[in-house]
Amino acid sequence: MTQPVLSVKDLKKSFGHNDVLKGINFDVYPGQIIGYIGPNGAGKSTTVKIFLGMLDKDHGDITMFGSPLNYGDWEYKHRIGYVPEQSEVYENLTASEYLTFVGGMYGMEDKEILSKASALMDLFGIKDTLHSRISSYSKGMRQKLLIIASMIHDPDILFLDEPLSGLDANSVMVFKEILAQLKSRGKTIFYSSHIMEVVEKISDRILLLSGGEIVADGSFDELKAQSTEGSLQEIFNQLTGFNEHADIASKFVEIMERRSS
Amino acid sequence: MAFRSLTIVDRFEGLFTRIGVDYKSMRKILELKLTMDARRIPTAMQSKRNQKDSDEGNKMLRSLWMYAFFSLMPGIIAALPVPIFSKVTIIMGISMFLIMSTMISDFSSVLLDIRDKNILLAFPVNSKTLSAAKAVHIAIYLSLITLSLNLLPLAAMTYSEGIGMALLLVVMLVFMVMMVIFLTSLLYVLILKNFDGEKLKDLISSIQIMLTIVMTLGYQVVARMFEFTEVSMSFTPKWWTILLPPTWFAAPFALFSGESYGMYFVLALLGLLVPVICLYLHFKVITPIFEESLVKLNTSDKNASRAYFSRNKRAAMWSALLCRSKKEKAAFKFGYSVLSTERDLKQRIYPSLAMSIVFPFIMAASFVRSNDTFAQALMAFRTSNQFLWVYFSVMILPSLFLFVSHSKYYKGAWIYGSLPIEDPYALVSGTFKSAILKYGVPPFLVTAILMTAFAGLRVIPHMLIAFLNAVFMVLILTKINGISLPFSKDFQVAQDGHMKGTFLGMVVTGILSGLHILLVKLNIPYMVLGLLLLQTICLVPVWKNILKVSWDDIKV
Repeated sequence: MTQPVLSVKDLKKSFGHNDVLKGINFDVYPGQIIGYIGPNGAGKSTTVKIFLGMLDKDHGDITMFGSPLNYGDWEYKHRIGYVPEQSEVYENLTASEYLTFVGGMYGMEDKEILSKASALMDLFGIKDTLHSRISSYSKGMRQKLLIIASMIHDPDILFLDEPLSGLDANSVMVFKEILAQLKSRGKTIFYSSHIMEVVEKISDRILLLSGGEIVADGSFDELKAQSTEGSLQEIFNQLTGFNEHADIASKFVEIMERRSS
Repeated sequence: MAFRSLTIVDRFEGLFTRIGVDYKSMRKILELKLTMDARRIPTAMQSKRNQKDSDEGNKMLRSLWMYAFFSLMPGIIAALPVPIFSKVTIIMGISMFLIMSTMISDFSSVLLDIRDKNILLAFPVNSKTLSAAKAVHIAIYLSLITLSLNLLPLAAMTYSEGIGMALLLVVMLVFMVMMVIFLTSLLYVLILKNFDGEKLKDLISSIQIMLTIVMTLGYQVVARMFEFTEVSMSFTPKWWTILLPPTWFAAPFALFSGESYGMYFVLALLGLLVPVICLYLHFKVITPIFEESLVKLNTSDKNASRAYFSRNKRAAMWSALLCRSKKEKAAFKFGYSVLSTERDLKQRIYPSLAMSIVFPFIMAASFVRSNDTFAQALMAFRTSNQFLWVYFSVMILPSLFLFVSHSKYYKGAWIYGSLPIEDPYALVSGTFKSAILKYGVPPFLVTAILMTAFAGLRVIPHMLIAFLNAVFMVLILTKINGISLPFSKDFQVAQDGHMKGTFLGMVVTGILSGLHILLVKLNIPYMVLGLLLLQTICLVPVWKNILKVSWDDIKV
């Protein structure tokens, strides 16, 4: 059995009285694509931010690349890539300026960054905007830029938060294939999303976070076997204890149809 | 929110309905727009925005008082016993300049609002209602601005020339504004047709900066206005007067006061005809093209300009010269690019940069004895220690560096967290160096060169000492205020901390300049060069000592 590339033991985090993570445990192995799902506010982004050293944990142990991860560590960040959920960037810069900064911080030479960046942007069909201000980009172009920025230094683990948002169908196909190829090269992808169909299709393992705990851990087939429901969406609803959707919807429509007179 | 201006519009409800406007919808749209106007901070108030920014109160209306204050200068002119033609020409000129610049700087967001279409056209509103709403909105805005900008001139005119002339002024102002509307939209269309939206935004931002500078320096000018009142301002129009539009609007005044000189007729005719033609062209020709070109607003040319490449080349060159580590170089280039392109930042610091250049000379000029000739004054300056007024620059410039931690796109700062950065030193030091090079050195250089030109080569070492003192001031202020990551905070957050820093900065500058004066007075040989050497030796260790902090010391 290979060593886990990321190992989490009894991770806890709270903000004030709000216990976001109540002790989560899992191991991630090289070459896995993990779908990390859960309702809004379940603590998915918090978990990822702790992995990235943007937040300190309250309790627990994290091991990444075989050594313990403490708040303030930074060397390991050479080997990870991150796409955040909100695609906020310094949009008065051009893509080339932004990527030169990011790459420079990873210790890359400007020349190397620019040749890689323009080739990658070419593959995504946005090469001609390399020197345009990011503020003129569409949502999809911006997402492509963030994906490139997260991978330009050839990281070993990718943390992706809703990376498909804004991408068109063709780009989504390209991106999924990229993930599959990265997997076959032993890279690890830790992926969170709300779009169950996508998670269902591309992850080999699904972690479901609800109420600050991991309530399900396994491949899609394993989850299906444990559950009475069919689709990941239904499993999701069942495990998070949400079954009022029809009720809420009918109330919504009823209010919509009201007339004052 | 209730708007008094709308109750006036309400009187014309019948008229609007008759021409096919859905009045109820139009009023709703106007209410929304006026509410948004009320919350936008106008350029004229920019300098006041550091103070407590309460959400209540109509910011637009408050800015009108500001404009009324700016009418002080034309107001004084209106009260002077000068020939009415010259008088009104000056009033009109100032008014035209101010109205056009406020129109471009503040109202551009309204004129260039493409969300308008995207949002409103989804509702069942006909296009006639939409254009009526836009026209009424512009009319309300312009009447408020024009009125407040001419409040004092109108009062002074009534006093000095009688109510008739004051009413004529109102009429001529209306004609003038018609022309301004046309000129502004023509300017926009020309730029949008030939360039991309980014260029237009650059232009708008430069005009905002210029307006702020003019208004800030305007205080100084108003204060000095009284000294020049003896200048005679009699003026007879020549043929080339036609080229000065303000004279068109002043000519009717000359006619009404009985000067039936042929040229006045020509000018007055232009003043009445041209605005009408302009307004016609505006609605018939410009507006359609305008709406079309608005689509281009959010595009930018794919082919990057040569200026962009040479800027990046410059940044790379300086970073190689000034920075050690690869990461610091990357941070330097990053800072250089952000500082060069961030319009919000420029708007806040350019006026102060201008002040830092002008202020030392305004102070020096106030020491000139009134009956000295220019040569005598220069001679006096040459032998005095007045070059030490350069410390006004030393006071103003460092306080601007507190802005390096701010950006419109501050949310992009997450990227620092995901990058392998051991401690923030490379990041902070790199961006600081780029900021000093970009916004510290050029204005200081201008001041220093002018000082040297006036006071002689002997002041060069003193200028260098002052510059290094300014760099130390940056570090001291940073130490006092705490280090923040570059471009990681919103401009809108309360800047009370900055106020504290600015105040302490004044105290420290006072001490430093006092020591410098002492140094000059003592006049010990080689003291100046010795001090310069000491400063140079100390700079690097002090720089490292203050900026080398751990992640925990970063002020969020």
